[in-house]
Amino acid sequence: MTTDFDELTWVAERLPEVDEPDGIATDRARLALLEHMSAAAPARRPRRRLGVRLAAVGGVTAVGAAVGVIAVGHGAEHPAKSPTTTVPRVAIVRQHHQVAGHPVLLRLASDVTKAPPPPGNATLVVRHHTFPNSPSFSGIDLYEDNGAYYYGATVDELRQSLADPSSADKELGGILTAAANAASMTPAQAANAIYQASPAPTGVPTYRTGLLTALKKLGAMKAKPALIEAIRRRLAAVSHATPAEAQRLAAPSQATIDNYLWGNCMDALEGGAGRPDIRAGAMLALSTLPDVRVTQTTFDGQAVVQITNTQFSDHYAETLDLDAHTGVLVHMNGGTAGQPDSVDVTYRVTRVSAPSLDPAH
Amino acid sequence: MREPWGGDRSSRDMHASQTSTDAAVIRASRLDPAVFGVVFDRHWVRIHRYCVVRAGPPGEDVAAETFRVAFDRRSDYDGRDDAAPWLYGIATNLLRNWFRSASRGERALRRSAGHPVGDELEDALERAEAQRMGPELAAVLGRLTADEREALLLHACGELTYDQIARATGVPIGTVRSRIHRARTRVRAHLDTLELTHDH
Repeated sequence: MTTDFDELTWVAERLPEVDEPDGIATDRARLALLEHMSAAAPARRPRRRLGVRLAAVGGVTAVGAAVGVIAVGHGAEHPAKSPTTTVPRVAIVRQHHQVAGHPVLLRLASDVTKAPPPPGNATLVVRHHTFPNSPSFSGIDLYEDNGAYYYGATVDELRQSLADPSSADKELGGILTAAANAASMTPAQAANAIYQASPAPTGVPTYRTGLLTALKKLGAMKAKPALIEAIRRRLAAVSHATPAEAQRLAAPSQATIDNYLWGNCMDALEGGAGRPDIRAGAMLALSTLPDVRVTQTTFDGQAVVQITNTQFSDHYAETLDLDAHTGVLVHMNGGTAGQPDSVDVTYRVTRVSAPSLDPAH
Repeated sequence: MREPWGGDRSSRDMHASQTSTDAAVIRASRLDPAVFGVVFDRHWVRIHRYCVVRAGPPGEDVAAETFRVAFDRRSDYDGRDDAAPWLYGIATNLLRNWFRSASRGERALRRSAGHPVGDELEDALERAEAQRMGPELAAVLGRLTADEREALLLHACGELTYDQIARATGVPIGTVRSRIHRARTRVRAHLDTLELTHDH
């Protein structure tokens, strides 16, 4: 049987639905471009690339200026390695999550914090990924306790990476540290701390600093007066606002916050799989997420605490299986109900001594 | 409705009226970098959509990077009135690199790529993108080469003409035609297979 149905139409109809970029996304991109353009302004000076922080995005200031943006700040300076490293992260003021936390996770976190300090100085994670329509593969991650991360597809490759300290990725270090510290906090505090560990955390004070920095930069590049004036007005609005109003001006949406928190916690549970304190902190934070479901079940015959996040669109969900006694990540999958999993990952976690990779006892 | 480019309507309109084509705007931006913001305002939504369709939420960062790269390369712009194909070409290259950025892709995509090496690079590219597209479209995209897939998506998602795709990807228009023809043929074969399956 044949049809005259146009193939391109068929493809176009099945492309994922994408909303138009919201104000936050647009302003982030615009700010990043502004900051980048400022480096090309006349009389520029030699400089390292600056990280950019974005604080809030609102519509219109109290005095009526239609302002889209705005804040550029000096973040931690780091070289750009890919597009994502140079893009400002959404700024951050947690708005709620003043919840008690899911009891199963709280109990497991409490148990885990009583574990003795782990041996060795690094966590070795062997991952095995399987996909419905693609070849599976394995990879080896090494997370040193000092925050450095190395990868190898094989042990030999990992050793080669270790031999070159410049290959270390330290981006996760802040999240892992925050999660470790969060182990002794309340769930809401833990969520806040881990969320704030995103690459460009900020709050109202940082937002104000960012506005000031933006003014300096835009002034240096002789930006359009109206834009500078708009930022001045935003700064005035934040400066004279009540604390609650200032926080509102600087705050991202709760959905954005939850999404970042989920991602950070996943990073923590993987990168800190060998560290009880990090696992406990991540579990406390995860226990506050409203779209997370926690169940006690088994995976491959092993008792696990299963954490499922349903915040995603199109009925997609991600699930983490943690060992029911230790909280160590053993399995993750993502997929849409009624369809084969999009991805399925199993983890084998050991503690080692780096750089020898000898098992730690 | 939000004001574009920081709400500086008067200044933006001044630039827009004086420099009505992208080429003129880009030329002007060589003297006054801030003028390049007009290019952003004109094309951000389209480039954003293209990148997010292909890479999911992380595509937002790729879209933003596209304009920074374009800004850096503005002195090399070919002078055509419409900068869209040029921007799509930059975005396509950045997406390709992004998909291949194994460790970052792993964390950002979560549900897709791993840390491919060697021959697995191409697999990862397909995997990350295919999972974003959903199983039905993934089954088709998985049958295409990277070049065919990019041409097809620039056409179907970016809504570029063959000529524009040729500009975006830097290949002759005849090559674009043959790539899209091959892609369509494979899509058709897949649809025929589906129909046969349903018939039986």
